[in-house]
Amino acid sequence: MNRYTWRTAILEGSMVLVGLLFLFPIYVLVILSLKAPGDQSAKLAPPLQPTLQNFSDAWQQGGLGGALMNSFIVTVVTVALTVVLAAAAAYPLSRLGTRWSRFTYLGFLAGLLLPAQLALLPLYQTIRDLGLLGTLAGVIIVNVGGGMPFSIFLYAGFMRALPAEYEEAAAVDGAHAFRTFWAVVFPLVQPITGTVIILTAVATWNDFLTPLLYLSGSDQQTITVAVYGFVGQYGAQWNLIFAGIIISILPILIAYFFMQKYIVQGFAGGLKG
Amino acid sequence: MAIDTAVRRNEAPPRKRRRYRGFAHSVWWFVLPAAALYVFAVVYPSVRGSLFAFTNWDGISQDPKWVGLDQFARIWSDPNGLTSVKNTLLIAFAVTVVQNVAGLLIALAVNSRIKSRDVLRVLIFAPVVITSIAVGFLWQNLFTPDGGINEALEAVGLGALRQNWLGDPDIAIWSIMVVVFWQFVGYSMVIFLAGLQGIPEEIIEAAAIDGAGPIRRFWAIVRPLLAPSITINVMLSLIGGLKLFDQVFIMTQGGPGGATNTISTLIYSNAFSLGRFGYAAALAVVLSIFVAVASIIQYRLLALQER
Amino acid sequence: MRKAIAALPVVVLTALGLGLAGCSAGPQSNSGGANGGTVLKMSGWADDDVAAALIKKFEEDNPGVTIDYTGLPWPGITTQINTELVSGTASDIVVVFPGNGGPIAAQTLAKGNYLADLSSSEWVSKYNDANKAVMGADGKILMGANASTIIPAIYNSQALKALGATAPSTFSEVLALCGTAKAQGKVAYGLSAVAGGNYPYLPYALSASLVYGPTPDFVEQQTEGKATFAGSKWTTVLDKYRQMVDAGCFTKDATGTSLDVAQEQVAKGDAIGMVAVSPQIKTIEGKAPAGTTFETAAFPATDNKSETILPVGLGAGLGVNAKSKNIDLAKKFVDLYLSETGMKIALETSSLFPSAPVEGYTPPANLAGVAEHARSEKTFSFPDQTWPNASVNQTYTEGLQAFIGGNSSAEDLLKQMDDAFKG
Repeated sequence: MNRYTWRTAILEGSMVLVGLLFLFPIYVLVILSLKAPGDQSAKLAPPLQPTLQNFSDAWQQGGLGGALMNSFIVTVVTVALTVVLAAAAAYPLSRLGTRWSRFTYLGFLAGLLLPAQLALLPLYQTIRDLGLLGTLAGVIIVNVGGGMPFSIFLYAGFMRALPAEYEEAAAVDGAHAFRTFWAVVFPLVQPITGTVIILTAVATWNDFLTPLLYLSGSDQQTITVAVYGFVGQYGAQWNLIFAGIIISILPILIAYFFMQKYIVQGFAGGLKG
Repeated sequence: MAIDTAVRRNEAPPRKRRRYRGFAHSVWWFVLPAAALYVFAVVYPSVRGSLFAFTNWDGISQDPKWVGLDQFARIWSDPNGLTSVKNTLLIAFAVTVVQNVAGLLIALAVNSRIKSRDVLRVLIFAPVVITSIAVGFLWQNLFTPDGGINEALEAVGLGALRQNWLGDPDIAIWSIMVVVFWQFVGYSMVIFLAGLQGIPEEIIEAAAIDGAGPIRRFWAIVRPLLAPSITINVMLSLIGGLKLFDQVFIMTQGGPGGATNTISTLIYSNAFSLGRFGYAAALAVVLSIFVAVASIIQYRLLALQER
Repeated sequence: MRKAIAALPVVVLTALGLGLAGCSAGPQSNSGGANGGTVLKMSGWADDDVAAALIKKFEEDNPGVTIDYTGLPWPGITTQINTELVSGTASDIVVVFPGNGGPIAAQTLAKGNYLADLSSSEWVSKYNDANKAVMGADGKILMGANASTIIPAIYNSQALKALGATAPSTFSEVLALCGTAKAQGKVAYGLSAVAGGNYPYLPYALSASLVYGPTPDFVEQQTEGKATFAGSKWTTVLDKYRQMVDAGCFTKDATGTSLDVAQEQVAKGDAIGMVAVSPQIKTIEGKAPAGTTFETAAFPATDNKSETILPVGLGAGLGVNAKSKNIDLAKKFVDLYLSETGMKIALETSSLFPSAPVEGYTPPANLAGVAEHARSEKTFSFPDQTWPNASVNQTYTEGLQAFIGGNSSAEDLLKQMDDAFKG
């Protein structure tokens, strides 16, 4: 069963081809970011005189350093809050068999259906009334609230599949409900925590409309908004945009690279339910 | 998994429920913070937003009037309304089918013995982590008439296939779907991969020894075991397809000539360019209903096959 | 991993603390700076050198006042400023577009009384009635702009010379240029017919000469129901556009070509010129090889030179938030912006075409071909600034894409525009 047959070789060949197709747009992204504005070399060929000028220009003109820091703060806090709150909420929802818990769970799931545009203006006005416009805290609250349905959905599915014996043992030992959750249940759902971390991080890091709306009017910007700033009314600075895009995706790609085994594990765990 | 199992599990035997009774009172505190933020950021503003659907508010003036269901009636007489409903359903259907079939095939392939599997897993997932705005810009550039796609076709001798990818109203909607597919097939792949981890190799091997062919083996053994991943994948791609906005907005803004409008882009342009906030809210309510109905139907169908 | 997770609450609390600290020190406190001075907030364009220069001057003239500037990109700026005005969170000074038809156009915003009345300002007298008509509503002046936007044909001088041609001044010469360029494997006019492209401007130029010049009160006639798009010379406008498309005047596959690519064609001489708004000249120059020069000419619609009317419209400008706590100070800034001094500062910083005559102003070489024409009587503002609602413009830009692509007829398009005009 573990032989590398001619069939495997054909499969390998065709998959490499598929991989190249997926790589092509990324290849174009990289070469565009390395070309100087007036570069005359052929479109798809690597630039004759590659330059890192675009990267330093984008970095300075877009203030990408500060923007990266803001994105980082927003992402880390959003992810941390989402993990703790969603895991805590999913725990009783997956354990209690009452009509109320079922109702609450479905109420959370309903959030997956609502289009974001519906809530846009009223939410903006509420955030304004709280004086949170222009602060990272406003963006974080909006992100965490909006992320609850999907994260609770993932956690609840996984927790239902967990045998209750460990908690019961803890309860017999007289552990408080919160202690049981924190010391027994939370460590057991670690794989799904990995999934929630990476998916929330990707979504938060890449979010555009929320930071654009809630941080405007302040000197704080996130990386996606800063990159979008290179699109002008009378034409875009493409070389800077593409360099900015690469700067903006590198941190998240690196994070993904180190977290990738948790993703597959996490989904695998979540699917057992 | 998903809702059905949740519901079934909730009908737990009474003995078990009694055991949790003491615990039931204190644990509602676990739900409270999440519920509070969720209600604050999603439920309350959505309800308030949907109330605008029953007014003639233009987004500017300070005295909106109640107009009952007039805004909903308008959808059927708006030429863009019909195209966008059609496009939204087409995209959701095509994306759901293609992304899941391709995602499953790719997952099976990178779960096999091929040597490049680890590289391919990272490569195919990479587009998922790129922001949709960037994906839109990148593909807009690739799709220009003398851009990367046409040049590449020329280079491999397929120059006859050159197209005006985003400029031809008959093609543009398909071009957008290609982009969505490129961006999200890795997402489906990862979820299927996770599902495949749960299937012991021995089961497949046993079937092979019994003489079952690869297709029969897949259909009879792997498919039922993958049912939970199929459910979650179909649900996510369907909801994503119905709500599609960023990619269309960046690449075509609904053009050429309104040919690629989706309900989401129409909501945006009505609310923010045309000053028809009430109408935009009505469209958003209709979209929510679509998503809800589609989710329930697909869930019922898949629940049947999970059994 | 377990340890890391146990540390989560600490991270959360620390970060929350940071967030809240950031909140209290945030820009919400907009009255009273650290040193007791006044802080004015302004929402303008991203990377606007003119605004920066004016702010510097204003802060020098008014010690104790600082201006907190937010630069916003296109097209997000319209949604952003609109949402902020409606929600009462807008800056004291905001970008406002003249006329009607957008989320932050003067007449749109007038409906909610979001802008302060500037009618008593000194600079108002510098403008004629046509200008004033788009600077506000109901007789009030709600915004001012220091620059006019012209819609000329912009030509790459070297490319023109290589063809042995000069800038056309009659419509027959335009078609002839198309033929000559085509014979050389080039196109006469760069065209981008995607959202944000330059495709709406050429019909504006044609309609100035064919519709609005001969019938200056065309919009009033439309409002009174005496005229329609479909029953006017707008049919000729679209006919001529069609003739040009059929004669191969434009970039191939224009419906899929981004503005950026079309501009690059002109910059490199692959297209001889393009009809676009004058601020785009600077963008095109930025894409051109060193030594390339550009010239402009009014775009003709007939074979009688003297019938050519040049579209000249007020550009985007500034208005004052009616809910501002420092209305007088904000008005003072707008006064500086539109004063002779302010305009001179703007002209030193950037190559714009001032909206009112400025002493000693000589137009840059690339505007020399239209500068005199722009100051004459033979101009008309952009039609979209006088359309009564945003939906006419949306119908026009969307329908025109289909028209250029050959997917809809002139009649259908004009009929739809008539429907949108009626509301």
